Amino acid sequence: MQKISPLRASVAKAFNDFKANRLKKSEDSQNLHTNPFGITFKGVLLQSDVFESSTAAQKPAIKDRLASGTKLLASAWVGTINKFNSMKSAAISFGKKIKDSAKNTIDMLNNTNVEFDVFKYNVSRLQKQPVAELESMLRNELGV
Amino acid sequence: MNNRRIKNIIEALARHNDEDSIRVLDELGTNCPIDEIREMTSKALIKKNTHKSLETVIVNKGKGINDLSARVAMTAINELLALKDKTEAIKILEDTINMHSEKEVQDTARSVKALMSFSS
Repeated sequence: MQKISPLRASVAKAFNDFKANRLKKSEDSQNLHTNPFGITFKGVLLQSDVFESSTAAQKPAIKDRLASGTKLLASAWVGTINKFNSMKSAAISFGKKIKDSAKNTIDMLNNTNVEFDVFKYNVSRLQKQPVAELESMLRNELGV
Repeated sequence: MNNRRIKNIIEALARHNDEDSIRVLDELGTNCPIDEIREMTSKALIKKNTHKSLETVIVNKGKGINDLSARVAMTAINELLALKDKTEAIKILEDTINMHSEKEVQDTARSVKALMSFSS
């Protein structure tokens, strides 16, 4: 026990020192929190109230605030209208494009004579046609 | 030239009841420079099995059984042999053997007639 007690005493002393240091540090850090840059004036740490906002002192009047709010609202409204207008014009142009392509397709189908070889040159169908017509068809095919 | 279309038109002319179809087949088909077309036409004319159509492929030099192409001539002969009613064909062959001016045509007709008598 006698051998251990000086060691214990030194440990206790070291612990107390560490505790005191930690307390001091936490106080310093609390001070730094209020003054985030740790700025000092003639060795005295400046307190947070020094950094009070300059704009806070010049708070605008309710009238001005209302006016600025109205302006903000108006600009937002104008932005929304512009957005809707652009969307509307895009939708209209898309609709026009679809309409034009559909019209073109219908015109093309109207002007195209769709005839399938399978039906046109079917033997039983050809058999019912007059010989003169078959003759002209055969002439066309042979290139005579 | 679309062979399938030509084949169908010739087939339709072969089945056609109008006598004028024989003229079309004779005029356009048997005079065609393409062997395949002449072959199809000869078959079509024989299938018709009428006096006029058979006469075209039996009597005329260079057409039907007298064609310069052996393939066309053989096809025509085969078609004649395959006929169910050979009466008209045999009659025309006999007339050709007896009355045709060309000896070559007569000989061909004689050979075909012999084949037909064997096959029936």
